[in-house]
Amino acid sequence: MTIASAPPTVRSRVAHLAAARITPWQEGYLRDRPKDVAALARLRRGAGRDAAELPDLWSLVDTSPLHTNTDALRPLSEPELVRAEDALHAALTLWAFHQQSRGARMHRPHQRERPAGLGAGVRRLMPPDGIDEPVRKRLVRAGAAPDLLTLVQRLRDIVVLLRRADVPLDYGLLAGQFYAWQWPDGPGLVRREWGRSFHTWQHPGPVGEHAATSLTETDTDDKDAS
Amino acid sequence: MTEPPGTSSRTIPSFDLTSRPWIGVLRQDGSEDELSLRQVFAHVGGLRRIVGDLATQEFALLRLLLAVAHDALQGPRDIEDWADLWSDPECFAPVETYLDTHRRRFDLLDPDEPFFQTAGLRTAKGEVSPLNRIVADVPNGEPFFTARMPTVTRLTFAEAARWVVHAHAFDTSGIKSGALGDARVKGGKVYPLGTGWAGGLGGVFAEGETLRETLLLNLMAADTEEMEIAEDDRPAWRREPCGPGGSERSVTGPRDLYTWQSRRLRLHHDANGVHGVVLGYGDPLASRNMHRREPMTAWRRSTAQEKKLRRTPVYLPREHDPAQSAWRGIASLVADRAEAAQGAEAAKYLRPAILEWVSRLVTEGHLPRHFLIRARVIGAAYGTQQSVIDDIVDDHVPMPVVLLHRQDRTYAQQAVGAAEDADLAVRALGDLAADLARAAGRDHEGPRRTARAVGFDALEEPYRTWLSVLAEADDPFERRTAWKRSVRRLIGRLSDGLIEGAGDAAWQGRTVTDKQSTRWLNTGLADTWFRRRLARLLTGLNDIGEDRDDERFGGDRPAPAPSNGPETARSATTVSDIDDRVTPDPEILV
Repeated sequence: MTIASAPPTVRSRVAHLAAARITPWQEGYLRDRPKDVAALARLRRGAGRDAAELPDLWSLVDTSPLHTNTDALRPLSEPELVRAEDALHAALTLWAFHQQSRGARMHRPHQRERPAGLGAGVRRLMPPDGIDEPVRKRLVRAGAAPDLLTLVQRLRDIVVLLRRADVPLDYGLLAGQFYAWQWPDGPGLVRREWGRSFHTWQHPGPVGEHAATSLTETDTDDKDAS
Repeated sequence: MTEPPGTSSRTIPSFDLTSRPWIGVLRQDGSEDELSLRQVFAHVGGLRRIVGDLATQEFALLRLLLAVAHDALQGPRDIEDWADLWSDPECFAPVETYLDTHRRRFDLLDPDEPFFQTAGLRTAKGEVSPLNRIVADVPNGEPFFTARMPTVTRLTFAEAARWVVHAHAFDTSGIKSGALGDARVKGGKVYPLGTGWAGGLGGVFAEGETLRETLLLNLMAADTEEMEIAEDDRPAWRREPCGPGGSERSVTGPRDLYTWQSRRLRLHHDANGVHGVVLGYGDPLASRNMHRREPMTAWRRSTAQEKKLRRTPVYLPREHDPAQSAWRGIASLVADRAEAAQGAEAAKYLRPAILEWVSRLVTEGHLPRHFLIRARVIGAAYGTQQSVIDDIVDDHVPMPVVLLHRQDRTYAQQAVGAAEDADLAVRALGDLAADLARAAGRDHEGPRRTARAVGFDALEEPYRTWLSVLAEADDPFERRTAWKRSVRRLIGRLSDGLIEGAGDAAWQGRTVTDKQSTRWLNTGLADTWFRRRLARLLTGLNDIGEDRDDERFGGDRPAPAPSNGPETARSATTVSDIDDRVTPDPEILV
């Protein structure tokens, strides 16, 4: 997939940038490269904390692509920039927390056949035919978070479970969702994406007929009963 | 006022319906007027339609005019005869002489043979009922819909004449006062014998540009195969005036049915108007298996009646559902009688013979394929034991007559299919609303109904528009595909609204357990189900290669606004089925 001729959205720029930052760190960390191991350690401390409190991370995370002003990319407005940087900070620190002491890649780009959205990840923590109630409640609580910081703090609890089960996430996708979250109507939009991700993961193949109908009452409008 | 009118007057009162204005009409220029029978026929080309106090009155009056026309023209005998009438601007000229001949029977106040009434009709105690008995207030107890609430103490002769015609057609059932001389009276009363004849029909007629066209389009030739029309078919004014009792006789044809005397009435009046009425039952007539007699309704087979009577088939009029707009029932209007039958099995539904007739006109080339008619749909829905009118259905479906063409059925099939598309999509929307309500732990039937009503409302005008230009398309299949896209877009937009409005409770959802598994029923699941259903409904097997993106409903939705266009591009890293839906980017909300 290549970028279409139209300029990308801010959301997609944030997502792209998050993935671009994480990928080399992740490769370095898995090869035990000291610089990257150190970076990861620094980032990890920031998980669930306000970016403003952690000036030492400002130099670590290069956000310059967001400031780029070329023909294709318009400069971001101030509120866009603030939200984009916060989203980036949240995604990167959460990934570092997730990746800690794991030998596999905990950031993995989402693919249709191998979904890596947050909803799909949470679904994988549950048995195929059942719902793990405590896990579900964690996701519900996260979805009801009033602001980004609370959201990330609640997701941190979920990431603990994901890390334990070796379930990766697409942190680019998540960064984009963090960005969207901060706008009016954003939480609803993101929750909808998580919900769909959660529910579609179960059936990556052809859709089972019963899945779409079992809870839906059959239509009993009989116009011509006599 | 104790004296029966007409018995003591020195000057005999008269209200001649052939020459006194009493029929409300809408002129081509948009103005309304009241005209006499003669004037209606004389100016018929300049009139758009009849305007009744209620839609049902329009239906009853149109049938009266048709009986006049059939009888005055003695025809049409066959389709060529009809074609001559259609091409002759003066075709209704004979009506003038005809009305002269029968003038006396058209006098509302005639002492011996009052129009559509029984002279000297009285009960044993001589009671006279208030006029509310014939002035239908609709819906019952909701005064906004009647011109004459709370009570009707007086009517002009013109108004009274209209309500007399209406009473024979649409009067409610219930216990009525017994007339002297009626053998059916028990204890001074006659027990319920059903509504007026037209009350049992789901009334349908073809409406043209002018009243002239409307009359002609519904002027069925006597040789119509689907109908049994006797040689001597004649209207009420060419029969003996009715006595107080009811007579059981068979029907001779449309002129007879259009003027069927379902009631016995007598107006009480003075020199200035009408102030009371005696109303009782008239000639009983059951609508069962009258499909070869009554052309202005669709029919349905009743398996219940077939079992009860041990005969088959049994057809009953297909009544209108006030809750359902006419376009949704288009299948019953355009489905061909022949094609509806499966092999030896009798057809489940019969479309109205009047549309069968229009179908013949287009099939035999007397009407151009693009000719637009409006299938007008008028009916009364009765309440408690048919003793009140609860609601009146007044609707129309504008359709090119090619839909009725017998050989070329593709247009009709696509029109019916498109209505089904809409129906199924709206049902899916209703299911979504129900699922969302369930997820939030609320009652779900209310939201389902509401969502359906909203869905049908949203599709009604688009469908009508789509249908009215269908004949201009070279390829009706392509038009159908375009229609499916519109349905998907419109219903998709409504679903977005439902999902966005579902809120925290629906996101939180509930875990539900069934035989197979435990699920988290929440917004996400409801949304997922809905999109699967809609995708399945709107990608029929007939449309291979079209819209096979089950998982990505909404992907072909055009950008909501031009300014949003560039924002629909997706980056390389976030392409996914989750992100695939074109949602307004949050930044445009700023």
